[in-house]
Amino acid sequence: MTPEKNALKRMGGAWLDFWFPEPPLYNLALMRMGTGLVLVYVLLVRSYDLDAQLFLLAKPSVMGALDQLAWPFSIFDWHDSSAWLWTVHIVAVTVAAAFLLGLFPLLSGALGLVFLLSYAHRNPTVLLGLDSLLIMAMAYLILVPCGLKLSVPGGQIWPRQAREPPGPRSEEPEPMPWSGLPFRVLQIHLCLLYFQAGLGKLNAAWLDGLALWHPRLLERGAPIDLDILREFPFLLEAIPAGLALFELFFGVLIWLRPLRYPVLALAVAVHLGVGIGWQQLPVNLLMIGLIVAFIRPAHANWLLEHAGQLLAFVWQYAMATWRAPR
Amino acid sequence: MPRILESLKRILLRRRAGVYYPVRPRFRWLLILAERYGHGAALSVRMSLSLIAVAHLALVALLPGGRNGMLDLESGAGPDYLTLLPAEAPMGFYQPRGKDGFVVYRIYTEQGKIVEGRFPDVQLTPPLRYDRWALLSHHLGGNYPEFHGLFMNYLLERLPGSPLKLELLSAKWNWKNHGAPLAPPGNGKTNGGALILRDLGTYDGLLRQWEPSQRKKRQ
Repeated sequence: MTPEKNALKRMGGAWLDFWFPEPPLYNLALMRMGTGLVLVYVLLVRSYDLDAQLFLLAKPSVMGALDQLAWPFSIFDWHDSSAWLWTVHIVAVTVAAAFLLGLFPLLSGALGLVFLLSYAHRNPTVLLGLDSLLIMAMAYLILVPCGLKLSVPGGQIWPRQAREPPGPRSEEPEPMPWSGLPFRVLQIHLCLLYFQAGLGKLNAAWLDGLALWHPRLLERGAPIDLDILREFPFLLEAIPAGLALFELFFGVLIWLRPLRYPVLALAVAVHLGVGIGWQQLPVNLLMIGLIVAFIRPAHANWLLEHAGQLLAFVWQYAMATWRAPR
Repeated sequence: MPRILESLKRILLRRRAGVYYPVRPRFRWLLILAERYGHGAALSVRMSLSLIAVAHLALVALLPGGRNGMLDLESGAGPDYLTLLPAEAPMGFYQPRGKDGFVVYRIYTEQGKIVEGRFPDVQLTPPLRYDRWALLSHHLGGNYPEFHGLFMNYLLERLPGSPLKLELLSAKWNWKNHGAPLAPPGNGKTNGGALILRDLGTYDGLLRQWEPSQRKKRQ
């Protein structure tokens, strides 16, 4: 074989190795649980205003003009009654709970996605960024083996497998060989998402610090007293600029091995800070759940396999400290 | 994986390792084909899938949500679902010049009082409910008379009695004053210059009639 052919073969091999990694089962399970948890919460909160937002104010004749998404369809449109609305909603919550528990995640995830799109098309005027993120996350998670770990017993990829008699083949089901591809695409999609969010912040209004004094934030009353920032004027400029820079460069820095965990720690801190300070906890928790994709699989495996021991150690240490004579 | 593929894979692995078992003649052609072309086909499928992934990510980067404001491009096609960039607050922030409109209403009661209020109520909990109603209120600022009528019906259902008159107004922040911190709007009238108000319509309680308004914006 000529050196050129050899180089081509190596490049092809590296390309395929990059796009088809071994799917990290524990990372995917954590991502499924994070997404499922937020999905259940979002659907439960929807229950408060279900009749108003999806029945009284959501007439198809009105919403058709406001729906910007392609392929408008909604299960809620099949029958125009409040009873049908509630029936579908209860099924959607049940499906979301099944996905959270890892019960037939392919089936429950696909149904969850259909329900999410049904809510989105029924009344697009209440479609938040959080819903879009959920749609994205679900679309990827149903393509990966996210239910092979940390799921309820019997929660396999497909119901048929759960009915098989227990034996050496069904005890440890193997993921499909191509299932690493959607995981890799999700990782890069997240990087692009951060970059686009950072790009959107490169405007005078954002860099002037308006995000800290946005009327929506002021009228709701932030849980953290942001007036402290007035005493440190440099922070008023540094925080918005820092956030924009962080989001712009997240997608690059996360791939550099020595910087991966510092960047992840910073991302978690930023999301928790924004989530609590701006009262936007669900969307930020969802992002934390999704960036678990960047934890090295070996570390995630070790962490979860030793999570019980670690918790027991922390508990014992805390109790010993508490009971120690002072 | 179907059982036949699994057994085929097992046989191929054995043959590659030099272990040959007799194969029934009617399946021999399948084995020969799989050995000769299987690797090439798998490689082609994997390569094609990776190229589809690259194309999908290019769409995500260039046409998030099917639109590119900078290049004035619009796809208007199905892939919007997967390339959908969260529209309002991608990373959980309220964006300046974002969707920040709300609704102001004025009720003339039977007792002769005038009650003013805003929608949504800022005390609404959990915050996710407030965010959804706030976004809906923002969309009410658009030119959708039928939608305004539906919203008026919703407001009327929530009122304890029947009002003599109900006025609906859409309010938006005036971002020209963004240099100075803005105060909350209160009843929507007191913040001179900080709000842009627009009439949506009036409900006449005596005639039980809704009259949508198409007047221009006033400041």
